[in-house]
Amino acid sequence: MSRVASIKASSFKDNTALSWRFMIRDWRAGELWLLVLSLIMAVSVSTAISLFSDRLQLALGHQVAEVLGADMVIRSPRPLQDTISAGAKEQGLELSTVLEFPSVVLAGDEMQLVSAKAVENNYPLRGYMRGAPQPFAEDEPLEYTPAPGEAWLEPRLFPLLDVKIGDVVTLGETELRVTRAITLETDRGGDFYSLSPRLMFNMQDLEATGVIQPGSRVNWKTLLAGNARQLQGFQNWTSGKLDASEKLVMADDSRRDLRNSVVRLKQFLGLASMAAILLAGIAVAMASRRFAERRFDNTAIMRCFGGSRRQVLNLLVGELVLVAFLVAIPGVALGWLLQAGIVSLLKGILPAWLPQPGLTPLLVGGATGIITLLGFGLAPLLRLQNVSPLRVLRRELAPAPASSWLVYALSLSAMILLLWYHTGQLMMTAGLVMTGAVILVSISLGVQLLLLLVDKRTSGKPMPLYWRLGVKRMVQQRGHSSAQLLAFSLTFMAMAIVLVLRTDLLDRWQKDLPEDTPNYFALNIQPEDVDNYELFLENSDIDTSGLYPIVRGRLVQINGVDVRQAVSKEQRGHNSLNRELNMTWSPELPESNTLLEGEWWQPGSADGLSVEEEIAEHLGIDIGDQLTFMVSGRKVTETVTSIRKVQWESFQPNFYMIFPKEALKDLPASWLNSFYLESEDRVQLNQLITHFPTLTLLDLDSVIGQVRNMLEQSIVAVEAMLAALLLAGLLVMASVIESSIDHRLQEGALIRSLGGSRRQLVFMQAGEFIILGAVSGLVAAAGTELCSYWLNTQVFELSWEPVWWLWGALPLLGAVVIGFSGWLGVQRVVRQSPSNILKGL
Amino acid sequence: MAHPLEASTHTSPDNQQQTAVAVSDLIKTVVARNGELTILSGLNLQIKSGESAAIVGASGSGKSTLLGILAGLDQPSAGSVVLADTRIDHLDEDSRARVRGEHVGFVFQSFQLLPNLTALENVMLPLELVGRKDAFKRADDLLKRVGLDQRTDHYPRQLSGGEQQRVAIARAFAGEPDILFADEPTGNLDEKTGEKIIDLLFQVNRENGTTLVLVTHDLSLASRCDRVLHLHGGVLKEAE
Repeated sequence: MSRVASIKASSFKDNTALSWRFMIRDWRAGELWLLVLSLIMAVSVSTAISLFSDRLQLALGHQVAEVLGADMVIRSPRPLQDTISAGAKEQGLELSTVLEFPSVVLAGDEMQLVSAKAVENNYPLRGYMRGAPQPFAEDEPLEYTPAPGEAWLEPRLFPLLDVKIGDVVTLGETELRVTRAITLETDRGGDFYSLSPRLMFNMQDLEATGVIQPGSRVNWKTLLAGNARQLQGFQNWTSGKLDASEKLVMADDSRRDLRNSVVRLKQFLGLASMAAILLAGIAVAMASRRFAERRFDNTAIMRCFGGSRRQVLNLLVGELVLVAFLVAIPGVALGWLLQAGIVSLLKGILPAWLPQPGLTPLLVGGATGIITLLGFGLAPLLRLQNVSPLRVLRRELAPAPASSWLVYALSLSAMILLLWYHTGQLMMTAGLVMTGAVILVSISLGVQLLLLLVDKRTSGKPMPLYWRLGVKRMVQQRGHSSAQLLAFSLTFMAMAIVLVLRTDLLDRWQKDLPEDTPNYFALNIQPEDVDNYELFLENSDIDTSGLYPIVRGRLVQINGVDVRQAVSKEQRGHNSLNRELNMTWSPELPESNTLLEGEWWQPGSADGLSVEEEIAEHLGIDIGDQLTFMVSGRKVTETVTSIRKVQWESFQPNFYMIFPKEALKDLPASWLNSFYLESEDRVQLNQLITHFPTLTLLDLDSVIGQVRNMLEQSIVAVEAMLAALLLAGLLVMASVIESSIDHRLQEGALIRSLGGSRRQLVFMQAGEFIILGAVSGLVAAAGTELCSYWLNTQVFELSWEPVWWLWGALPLLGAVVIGFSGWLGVQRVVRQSPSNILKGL
Repeated sequence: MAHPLEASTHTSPDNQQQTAVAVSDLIKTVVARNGELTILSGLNLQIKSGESAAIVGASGSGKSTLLGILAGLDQPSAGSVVLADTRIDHLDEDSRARVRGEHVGFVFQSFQLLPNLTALENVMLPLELVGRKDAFKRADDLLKRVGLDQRTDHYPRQLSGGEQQRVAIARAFAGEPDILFADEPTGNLDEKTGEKIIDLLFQVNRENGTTLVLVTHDLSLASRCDRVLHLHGGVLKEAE
């Protein structure tokens, strides 16, 4: 090592050792606790949030996967190519093959159309099945599949075939013994309307049935499961290798009803972590500002004794960096515990199996301390560079405040960096932070201007002493006052936004799935049975959403041009062109639909067609286009008169195409009905099926339970976030009040030595905090409205309404909470003997 | 052990009669609300090594300003300042800090102990800044010499004013300075304690052969110095 390098290295070592000693001394003298507390909070909150949302997102991903029965599915009309399945195995993925096909099952003289499903022993790879030893009995989770020679039937098949457990049914050329009633496979989902009752059997019996012949209409599904890396690797590998009929589906994009909720929850968790980290950042900034201000004297003395600017700065920055590193370990540990605590508190509500998180959240949590400290705390420390050694002779010499662009640039970069990790979207985050910063700076300047105005108005006018002193101080320290005000406002705002959004989200979820969400769908109600069916429901006291006619038809022409030519190659792949669509007629707009464009038809009109928004967009259909459908060999042509938004997650009957009654009434139709039945009334289903043998009954109870369960977990997660935020907010307040305490101690001592009573002092100090709290509340209310408007309309796609109570509640809350914490804080000012404090001046 | 910051720019005076502090044509003006205000106007002064000099004057006469400039804490508006054989008026703050670290000690009216450090740590501070390994031992010795061996672990707030000033004196001598500047060292103390402190200051000063520059308005204290200089109207006059 060269001499210069070794000198540098040794002085680095010396400096670090000295920083270390400084830190120990400051800690012993009680100088560091607030900073350490803020940092620990920043680190632990960030760690806990990263861990929790990481695990929850993994778990939610798993739940969506459960609905698919796998992480990834390849659907094909033939068994999957061997090269593809070999490739999947090579990537380390687990595979299971499923075959679904319509068939007829015989039992004695009875015969019934079923949806048969052959499964392998490891089915399903994700999710579960539920079944019962007897039809319509309490069901339970199943961990195994039908053994060879066995068949499991859906409960409604038992009365239809007139069989019981132990009887034999014939499927194709083989006989199977009925051993169990199957109530749910998590991956059933799909197209409700064409579903016949389920018969499940073992894949080993498939050949014996002899039903699969070349040209048979069957659906092969290859279920795949593995970790994200393997799945991604496999997906990339397959590109170009799958043939046109093989369709790959990822868990993420499988189910519309769950997807929206999951996406919203992810966004919400991201938002809440942003708020919490922002608060932690403010707390760190305030604490390090105080740390720096209390070091003016130290710095001056050290400079007096020959320390260079650089050396002193290195020492103090070194001290803080050491603190940040040391805090990282307990902070991360605390974050882990916090997260584990939340998870164990929520046992039973959270998914039974939460995946273990990766190492990244821990590292990010630890780095958060260092990043927030550098971003928010470095700028105040840099001021120390400019402390004049003359301060030892003339105490009033304080360094110029850190240049504001530096403060803003550092803290903005820190915010962007942290939020980028949490949201994963750089541009959106940067945009959001920048806009936020501009607004904050404007508010800050506005507040300073306002203070000046107040000062001008009130100077020379009679005012109670406390108010005058309070106002004077706020005016004299405009920068500091507006910083405090901003900190309080941001704290209130962050909490209010999360609270308001939580309410909106919960409302939305509640609305999506109210208590009486239809849990049964009755399909294939024949026109001649409609009246009897309605009577049956009425007599059995069953709530219903009404009956909808279903006419099945295929879209064949758009504006007179064959649909295959009318749309582009990509559009041609849309499901709606490859199958018959369920169409209905209705005199009025169904409840869960919203008209986006055009007008609904007048009663009695024969012309008109309302198209669902997504399909219209996908196929490029606009109002005025003529669509031609082929229904039972007849062509039906109508002009599009409106575009509708459909709430798919509503579990109500929903349709892509709605016509006026006159347009479809002569075409063959069956009827559809959905109703809500409590589980203890389920025996009525037996009667329903025997009364109307052609009717197909679809049980959605388990699926709805699944969705509802997931929403409940989400709500808990949201509430846990709110609690974390509250904690962060309280710490910010403690930080802000503590950061002004030195000043108040001196002022209080002076006032008391001049004869002020304790009462006067408390009034004066608390009065200032009350004003500060009330104004912060007002600023926060405005900010919350603005942000929640933007978030509701742009991010969460919820409707927005002004929250009037905020305008009253936040200022009031601010005045009370800040006033009270201020009162607590100034107790020390009141209790201290003035001589003690003045001696230290 | 070498100074960790940088090598010294001069050699220590062996000769007792060498000049410790010298200023010539020193001017200090400050910008005030109604134009420029001259505090020191064309001031000349030489203080020899080992000498003790008191600068006396009324409040606001510029005593502290002069002390600040002599000690290299502040810069003059014009004129030259030589401190321990180094011309410091054209040096930047960090270079002046180096000169201070090597040659200068301070005692202040308001003690200026760091509240978050114990008595011992306060004395150790200047030694630690230059990386002295014997900081602890030397500070401990110094506190013994000023009679505070029972108080080493006390924080400033737990010490009386006199005790705090003793710690400050121990700290001032910790770095074995050539020149000690004292700004109203008894200003915050009662008469009796003040006398004891002054006795201690002169005693330690003698033992170390240090040059002492003292600012005070206490004429009896000033009279204990070799020289008494009156600052009036921005000019120094030597008392006969």
